[in-house]
Amino acid sequence: MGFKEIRDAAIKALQEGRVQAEERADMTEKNLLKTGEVSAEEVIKMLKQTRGNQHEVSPHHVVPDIEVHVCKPKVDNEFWYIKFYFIEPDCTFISVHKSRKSGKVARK
Amino acid sequence: MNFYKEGDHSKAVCAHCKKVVPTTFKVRRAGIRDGTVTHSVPDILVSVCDECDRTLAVPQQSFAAVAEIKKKSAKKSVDVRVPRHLLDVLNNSITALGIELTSDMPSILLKLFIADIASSPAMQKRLKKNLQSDLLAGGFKKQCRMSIKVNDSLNDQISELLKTWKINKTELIDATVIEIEKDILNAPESERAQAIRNTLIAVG
Repeated sequence: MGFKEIRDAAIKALQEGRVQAEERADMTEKNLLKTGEVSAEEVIKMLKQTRGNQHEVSPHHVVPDIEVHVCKPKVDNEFWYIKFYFIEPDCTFISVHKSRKSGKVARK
Repeated sequence: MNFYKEGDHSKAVCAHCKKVVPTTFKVRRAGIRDGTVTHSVPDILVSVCDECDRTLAVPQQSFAAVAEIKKKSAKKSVDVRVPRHLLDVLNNSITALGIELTSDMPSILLKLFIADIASSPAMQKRLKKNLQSDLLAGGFKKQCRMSIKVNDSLNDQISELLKTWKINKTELIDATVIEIEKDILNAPESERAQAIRNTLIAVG
């Protein structure tokens, strides 16, 4: 799947309530979607504002076969860090938080 | 919106089993780590590993319950020590209104009155006079600890009252209890007491 398909699939999952958040009781929570500090609608807005060069893919640290997507959009002058992956039919969010770094991803 | 039910099945990555595992949704307590503090979220639906029984994920429908706990924990608290008989004044004021006494009702009543005092110059002028009440005279011990959770708005109002009237938190609570004694305990049928009663029923 290309970036737009990935983004649209994540947005669809958020709209349909087919989202899960990883439970990480041993780590400081970085998922503001899970804690209600950011709404699903706000994440959808951020994803819609993410450009192709603000998206990157990496293997999941536990199951490398799973592609983890990182979106780093700039919304209202702030950079955000949104990390998720798909295990059909759901989309699992690992992180949703502000970032101090620019969202642009270097292309090889 | 999709809603999972207890007993429904899904899949998730299990860091312990190191693979994608089948999961079952169960009602459990979950922990949200915030720096060095872990907030406990009771009785929410979570996705549990069928192989190792560890909690792996929280579904979207449970985010609101997580948010509620996070929001509560963000509240500031006003901690004071009060003598037992002032707690009795609060408790008896509540029962005088015909309301069942629950553990959080005294602090709700106090917060209602503090908010009223903050918006009423007439009540503010009585604060110092209230501190001269017989109920506050004598060599009693302040044995009971009260922790009152307040939102930012009420916390700001309390700070303003303390600054304006040059009193401390304990004195503000003492004076407020005396105000409650006069307005509620001594006049439970008054229009004001009944208005407070209705508010307590709604929010308690």
